[in-house]
Parts: sequence; structure tokens; C-alpha cells
Amino acid sequence: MKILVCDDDETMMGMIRFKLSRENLGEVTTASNGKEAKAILQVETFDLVITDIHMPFHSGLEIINFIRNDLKKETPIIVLSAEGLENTVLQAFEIGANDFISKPFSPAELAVRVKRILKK
Amino acid sequence: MLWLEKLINGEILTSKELTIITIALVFFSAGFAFIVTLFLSRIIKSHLQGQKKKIKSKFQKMLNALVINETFSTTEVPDSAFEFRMGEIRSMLGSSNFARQVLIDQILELKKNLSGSAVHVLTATYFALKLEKQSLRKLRRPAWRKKALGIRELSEMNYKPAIPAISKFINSSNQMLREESVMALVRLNTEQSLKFLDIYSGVITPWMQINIHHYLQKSDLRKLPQFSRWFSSNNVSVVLFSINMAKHFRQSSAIAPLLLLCHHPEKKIAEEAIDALGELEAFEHRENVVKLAPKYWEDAGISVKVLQCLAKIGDPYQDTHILLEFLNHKSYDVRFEAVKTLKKLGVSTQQLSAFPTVKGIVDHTTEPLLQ
Repeated sequence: MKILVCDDDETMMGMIRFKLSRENLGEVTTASNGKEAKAILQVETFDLVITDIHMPFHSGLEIINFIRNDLKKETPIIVLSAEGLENTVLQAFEIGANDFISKPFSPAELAVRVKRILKK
Repeated sequence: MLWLEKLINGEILTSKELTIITIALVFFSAGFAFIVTLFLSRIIKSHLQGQKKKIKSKFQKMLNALVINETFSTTEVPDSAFEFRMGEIRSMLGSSNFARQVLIDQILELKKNLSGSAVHVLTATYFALKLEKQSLRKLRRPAWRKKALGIRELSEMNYKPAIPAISKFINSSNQMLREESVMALVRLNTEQSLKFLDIYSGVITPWMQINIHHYLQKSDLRKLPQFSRWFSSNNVSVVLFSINMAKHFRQSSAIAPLLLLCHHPEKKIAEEAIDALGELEAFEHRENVVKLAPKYWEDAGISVKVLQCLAKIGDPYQDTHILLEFLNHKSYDVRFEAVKTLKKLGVSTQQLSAFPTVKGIVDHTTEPLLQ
């Protein structure tokens, strides 16, 4: 399984990568901004994308749009954001996110959600 | 380079030439010193950043192992295992304050984004490594930024013994420091989160109000203090804040003291008190509000508040006559508010149109396109 984690917070990204690797959920690739994420997504195919909403260059919502509309891929997407505003959550789901986790979150919960999505 | 030739030939320079040379030399030396300082500061900065990155990645591995490893994040954590990890981090930290600060920043960053057992592990790590001492030391630093940073760290880590030390900054001349210490005290002093209001002499800014209100909303509402306790404060800002909070948390026990505040010499306090009476639906004290109308007739701002209050608690049968008088008020704002209030109390548009002073206002309020 290949997972892409996009977050501009290096500490958080490291933590997520560590948790997913520890749970043997697959090979984790990271992108620290929207531009990097788009570049990686253009050349590689992933089984799951975990993205933050607020990132430099392109937001998480733009990444979802890019995957669904430009790449025309059905890759499952989990949105991870400190912004739990109803509108943002709804917008993320409307444009194609599969799950939304608001920060602060429990790493164990994230792992469970990732497992559930990957099983499908 | 005439002066240079003169110097070579051993001739004496004129005083003008000497002055110019001296100024040029001073200017050149200052420029050179500035460039060297700039260059050095860049080198030091990049060196520190490199160091920070290196230390950060080391700590990251340790923290990941601590937070993610289920062995450490459950209640069945063997103390020896946790202590072993702490020993490892301690040896990495050595006596370096810089490394300690990097670790504190990382712990706070993770704590902000994580929940559940991970937070307990991070808090335990902070205290096991006695990092609170580093945060407390910052409170003694001369720079306000450092002090504020220390306060933020102690408050984020919920270190209650720091309350007396933080309280010292509550009336600091620096606004940022004042705000930071107030917010820290609200968070730390859970039993008496608003005790700072007793001694606070500064202004409660909108930012502070929003944050305190946000915090109070999340706390146990049954334990909220009676905000009327601060209605007699000498600090106008504290009184206004207390009225606002009493209004937001619908403390009906504040109604009687609010009636007294309606006569406060400070106009803003009187306005807020009248507004609060309306919001708290003090129907039984309607007459007291009506009596305020003649008292504040000359003050358009308070008159508007009286009208807005009566729109909420006024009696359509008994108050109409006094409200009709406001239709002839010299202030347009008051006349406008009077029309709105009377309409809310059920007075018909036809009746209102009979008053030539408010005909335009009535037309405006009944305009279907504006409804």
C-alpha cells in the first residue's frame, strides 16, 4: 500500500509517518506543501492520500480537486485539519474527500480510520 | 588624489582635507563593521538553524516513539521504560538551554495537534525532564517576548504552581504581556478563573473578551462566578466586561445591580447596563427603564439604548405614550429607533405616519423592498 501525507508541519508529518509505518500500513511518502504534493501525485499512484487543509502554494481542497478532476482518480482521501468549520468540512466532502479528521486528533484514531479505508 | 600625493611627498594637509579624510575613514569603518556584523549574524543564524534541525530530528524520533508506541501511551506503561526514555533524552539535552527550548517547542507543537493519551505522554515528558524550570526562568528575562513565551509555555502545560509568578505581569505596562498573563491565569486558575478581575487595572481588549468568553463557554457553567461582583470595580473596562458576561450567560441575579448601573456617571456603563436589562428580559423592572427616558432625554446614545431595551421589555399599553414623545426628539437616530420600537410594540404605521417628524422614517421602515 502506498500512502501520501501532505502537511506543512514537519513535526506532525513525521508523527503521522511514524504511526502509519509502525502499524505496517504501507509505504509512506510525504509532501510539505501543495505544490510538492501535486508534483508527486502526477508521477505516482497512491492507495490513500492524507492532506492538511492549510498548506503553502495549494490548499488541501485544491489537492482534492486536482485528484478528482484533473487526474480523474478515485484515490481515497482523508482530510486532516485544525479548521473544523462546518462549511470547510462540507466543502471537503462535496468535492470528494472520503473522511475528515479535525485537529487535535488521536494518532490511534487516525490509524483505525486509515485501516478501515484501505480495507475497502 | 591630490591629498595622497601630498602625504607621499611629506607635505602637511590642510585642516579641511584632514576633516574630509577623517569623515571618509569613519564612514568606511562603520560600513565595514556593519557588513561584518551582518555577515557574522547570518553565519550564526544559519548555524543555529542547522543545529536546531539536527536536534529537532533527534527529538522527533524520541517523541514519536514515546507518543506512538502503545507501550508508553497506555496506563500500563512500565515506569522503568518511561524512565529509560527520559534518561536518553536527558543525556541528549545535556546542559544546553538551546536544546531544551527546541524540545519544549516540539512538545507544544505536538500537544496542540494531538489528543487522547498522546497528550498525557507529552505532558509527562515535559515535567519528567523538568522543562517547567526553563519556562519559569524565562519569566525573569528582561525581554517581554521571552516572558510572554514562558507564560504561554507554562499555561499550555497547565503548570498551576506558576500562578503567583504569572500574576505579577497582570498589570504590566506592556499590553502583550498583560494579555498573555490574563489568558494564562484564566486557563490555570480553574477554580477562580476570573479572580484576576479583582486587581486588573488595564483594558480588557476585544481579543481578550473573545478568548475569555470562549474559555468560559467550555467550562462548567454552574461554576461561573456572579459577574455582578465586579460591577463596583474602579476599572471601567472590567465593569463593561462583567456586564457583557452577565448578559451572555444570562445571569438574572445581575438584574438588580444592573438597575443601579443605569445611573452610572460613565455613559458607556449606563448604556451597557440598559442594554443588558433588555437582553435579560427584565420585564418586572420595565418601569425603572421607562423612568430613565426623561433623565437621559438629552443624550441620544443612551436614549437609543432605552428605546432598544423597551422594544424587548416594554408594555404596549402603558409605554406607548412616552415612546410617542421620542418621535419629536431632535436626534434622527432616536426618532428612527422610536419608530422601530413602537412598531415592535404593535403601534400601526398609520398612527405613526400622523407624526410629521417621522413620516420619512415610517416610509423607510415600511418600504417593501427593504423588508
